[in-house]
Amino acid sequence: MKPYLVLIAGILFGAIIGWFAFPAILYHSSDQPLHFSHNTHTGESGGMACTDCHTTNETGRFQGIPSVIKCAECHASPIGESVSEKQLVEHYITPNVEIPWLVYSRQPDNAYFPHAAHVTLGKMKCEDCHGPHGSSDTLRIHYTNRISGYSRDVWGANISGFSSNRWEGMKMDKCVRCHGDNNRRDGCVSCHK
Amino acid sequence: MLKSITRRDLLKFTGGSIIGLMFSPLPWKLLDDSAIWTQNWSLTPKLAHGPITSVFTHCTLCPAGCAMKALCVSGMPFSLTGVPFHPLTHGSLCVRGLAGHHMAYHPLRIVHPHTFSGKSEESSMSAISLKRALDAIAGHMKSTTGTIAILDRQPNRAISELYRSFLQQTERGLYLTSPSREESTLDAIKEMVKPSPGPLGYDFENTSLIISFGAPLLDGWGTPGRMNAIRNSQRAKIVQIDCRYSRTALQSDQWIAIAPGTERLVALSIASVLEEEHFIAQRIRQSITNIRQFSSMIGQFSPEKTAARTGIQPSVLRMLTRELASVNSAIVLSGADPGGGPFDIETERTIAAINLLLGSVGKNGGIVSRKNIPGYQSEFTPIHWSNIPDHSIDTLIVDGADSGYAIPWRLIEQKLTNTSSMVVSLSPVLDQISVHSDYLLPSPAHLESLQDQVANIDAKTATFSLSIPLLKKNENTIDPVDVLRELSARLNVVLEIPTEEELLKNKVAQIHSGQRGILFTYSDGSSTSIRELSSADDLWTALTTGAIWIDDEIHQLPPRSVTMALSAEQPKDSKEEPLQMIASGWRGAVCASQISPILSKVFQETELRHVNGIVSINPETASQLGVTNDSPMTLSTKNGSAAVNVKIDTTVRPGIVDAAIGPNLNGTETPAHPVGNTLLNLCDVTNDGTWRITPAQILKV
Amino acid sequence: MDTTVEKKYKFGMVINLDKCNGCGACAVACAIENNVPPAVQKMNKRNGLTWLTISTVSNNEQYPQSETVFVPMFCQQCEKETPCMTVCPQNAVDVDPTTGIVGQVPQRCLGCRYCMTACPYHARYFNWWDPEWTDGMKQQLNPDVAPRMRGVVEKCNFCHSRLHSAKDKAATLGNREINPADYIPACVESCPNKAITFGDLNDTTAPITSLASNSNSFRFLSRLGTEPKVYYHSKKHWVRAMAEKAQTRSRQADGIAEEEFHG
Repeated sequence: MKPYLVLIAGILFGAIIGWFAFPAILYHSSDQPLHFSHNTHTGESGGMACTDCHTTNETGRFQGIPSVIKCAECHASPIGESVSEKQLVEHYITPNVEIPWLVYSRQPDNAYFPHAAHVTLGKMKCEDCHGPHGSSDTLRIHYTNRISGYSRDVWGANISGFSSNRWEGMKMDKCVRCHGDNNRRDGCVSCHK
Repeated sequence: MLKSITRRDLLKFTGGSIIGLMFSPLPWKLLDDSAIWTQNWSLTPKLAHGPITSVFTHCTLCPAGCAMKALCVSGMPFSLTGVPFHPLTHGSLCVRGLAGHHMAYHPLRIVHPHTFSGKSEESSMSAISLKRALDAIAGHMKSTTGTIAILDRQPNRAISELYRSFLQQTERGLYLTSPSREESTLDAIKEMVKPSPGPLGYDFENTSLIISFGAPLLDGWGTPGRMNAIRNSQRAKIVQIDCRYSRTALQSDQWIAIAPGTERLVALSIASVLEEEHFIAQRIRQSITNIRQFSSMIGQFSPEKTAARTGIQPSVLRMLTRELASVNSAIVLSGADPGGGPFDIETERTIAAINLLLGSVGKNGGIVSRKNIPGYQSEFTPIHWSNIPDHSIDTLIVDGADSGYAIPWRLIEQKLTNTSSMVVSLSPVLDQISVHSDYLLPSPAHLESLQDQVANIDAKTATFSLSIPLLKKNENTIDPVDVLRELSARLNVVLEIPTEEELLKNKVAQIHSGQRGILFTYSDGSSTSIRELSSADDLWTALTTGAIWIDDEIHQLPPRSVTMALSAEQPKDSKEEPLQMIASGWRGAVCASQISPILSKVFQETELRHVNGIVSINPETASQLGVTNDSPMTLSTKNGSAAVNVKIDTTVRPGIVDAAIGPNLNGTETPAHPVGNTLLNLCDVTNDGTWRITPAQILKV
Repeated sequence: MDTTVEKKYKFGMVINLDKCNGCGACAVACAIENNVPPAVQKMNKRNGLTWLTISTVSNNEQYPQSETVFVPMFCQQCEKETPCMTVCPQNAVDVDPTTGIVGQVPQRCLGCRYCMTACPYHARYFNWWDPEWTDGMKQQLNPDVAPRMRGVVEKCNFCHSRLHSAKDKAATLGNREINPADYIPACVESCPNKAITFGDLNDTTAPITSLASNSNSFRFLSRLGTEPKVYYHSKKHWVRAMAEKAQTRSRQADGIAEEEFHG
């Protein structure tokens, strides 16, 4: 056997582990508790905007994923034929139990992200950070980092940390870069809590 | 093929793999993730996510019943604040109320019925089923013929009425309240005047001078927000007569330092100056039935004659009395230190008498009458603890609500029959009394159940509000109403006991049909007349979403006939004792289970308030005893001794040992120092039901 | 993208010591607001976590002439040469250029405690133990403030989460400037005697500005030249005289030994 072949095989093996096996082991995948199509709601039949459900309250706080009370405004009883709608009504709306959604964009407890400042004042669009999420038909598989406990979306789907899409990855360096580009003068606690 | 793999190949492969890994994201990502892990490990709790809502409710931790606004995340309260512009609390909450949402999750919380096998032994506590506990309690009541007593420390609630009816039905019942009460001066006044003035309150807002005998007026007395507002408005001068430089003395306009235990003498001297310098109006003289007897008796207590014992310059008391007589309206009140206990009944009567001599009773800016709340029984006169015969109570049920004032177990114990007595506690926590009980049937904790908050204790008009539960009730706890229902059934007592909600809905309906007063709504700060509410259901809805009913003020009438029931006896002189221990505490913080663990910020992590076992003495006393600051010593009285930490404090009177009976905080309770085992246990409980001064010694360890 | 330069605030406080009765509401409200854990059994005044501590100071006269004043002490938000910031090797401390608030990111802290040594006011606290709440109390944490772990330093930041909320509220309405009424730290809100005035020292019309320049107002250890933004106010001369003496309590003077923390 040629001596360098063993070395190259080793390098290849290491790289395969690092690039492909490692991400598979690092993340724990789980399905959302309920099938949900954003497209049904935002598409032509639904015609809703993001902010119809993802609201801010009277003090300006972004409320994130709406509670079942919001769902119940339309789905107090099933209005369609789908199985998941039936599940929604039976398991969550009728007994008034919150749906244990897995949040793709959940940031650590010490990060503070004001939606109003970015959307209302900064004129950013939801898609700029969340991607074309609102027109999807299914909810993606949720990947949880086994070490840090965060969603994979915080780092980005690509294990290298590089991404072609603007909305991929939500690490602090991304915040800092954009704030720097826009000449924002911030202290640490402007975005940390 | 395997044969051809050498050890060298394996090493090469491994080395290659490591190089390969270095060219993959693995090491860098692992570094990043493990750094995040250290910030995220399970020992640091995760924050709740969910919608933020706000709810109005009322505090039940003491009888003041302050209004609160709670911020909740996913329905769980995380912050409590006062209600701005509230007519009674002025938007304040006391320290205890601020952390009230923690109480249901207190480390000393009990959520299952328990029985104690050996008395006063915390370690011998064991769980018991509710049915067995109730059977045993009812069995005991049936098997004996002795007195059944209920100790109710918030005696104006709807459940209090049920307690009184229950006791009446058993025909051997005795209704007890906290020995120290904010209303003690009012109780003494009611005793001395005819016709009965009905419920009384203080019109602090319109008064010019407030003289307080030892009451912690500005440090958790009555409705704290109201008292602070009175002080900050500076409309009334506040004079504190106290042997201690208390928080109230510190903030008052004038502090008169007196010798401990001479409050009655000081009050008598004030009364004597009123008489001697002809300050008592003719109209008032005529209303006093025994004015001659009073005039001849009071002469022997002139400030000059009492000065040696009270330690006050006669001119100071004369000046004060002249000021008292010259102002438009004045209030003189007494008050117990939450740890140091009540005054004896003679002192209370003397202080009440000054108000009557001044004509402050039944006058705006003085002590005013208020109406009963529609639907509530008229006020009762509580029995003074000194009037309860020793060894007379066979069964004692202690309600879980708290007055905030300490009760020494020694006081309760001496009223219990020696052998067969049974103590049942309905406390939601392990506290200074429930550790001595035979059965503990925990009631729902603070903010876990619907309750009424009746008449802010010091208010000049009747008020009514509801405490809305913010927390899910623990299912193993039992409402006191249900205890009463179960016991009635077992004892064949005929008493209709509704559920707590029915009980309160009925009260609200009667308030509505009374057609009096206004409703102050918290969400918008508006006031509406009760007449504008079309139905009782509307009133119920308003009260459950944040509102208080406030009665109309009534036209004041001075009492027609007054009897000065004052004793001429000279008080005993306790001056010869070299060291006198006085217990001091802070309302609602006498025992660890009364306060949230977060109050370590004022008790343990700072020395703003003293925990149990800290005694303060004057530098002069310290040098006599040869004690240095912060030294561990033993405090000894005839009731035993305890390890203490001595602090030297120039604000303490020489010869006094100011013994803090604060809580043993955050897990410092041990079998040797169980809950509520404080320096209070060293106090002498005298025949008059008080424990104000105890001769003591400070010894080297 | 909007690149408007933000308004420059200079948040500060004036504490009227004559109104303070040492009730402790501010200290407790602060701990609840900022998820500061209750004491573990070994904690005492030297190693506890009190973003806001209250010292009792006496005039040392004899009874009954003796007088006491309560001094709430917390991060004084030094404006110049901020001592804690200059010594931090981790860049975990900074002075926010738009608010003047000295910020601390505990997650960035490595626990060297240089800042605690540097702070003239002993207003910084180290987490000697893991935070301990009962299970129920864990659910009652303020969702706007991240709890800290063992081994890091923390301190008062003028309830920065409340500034976040105020900014959020303003942004929803399209405003860059906050409504001053929306940003009130927990200690100020909870004080039953309204002894603390909070506001923007750059705003000449705000009540705080005239109060801070009042002749009875003073700052502790102002001779150090760090320009703290927390003022105290008292009509009593002996209280004002205290400000330039050594600080009210020195840890060294308490005879503190390193073993005590670990023991």
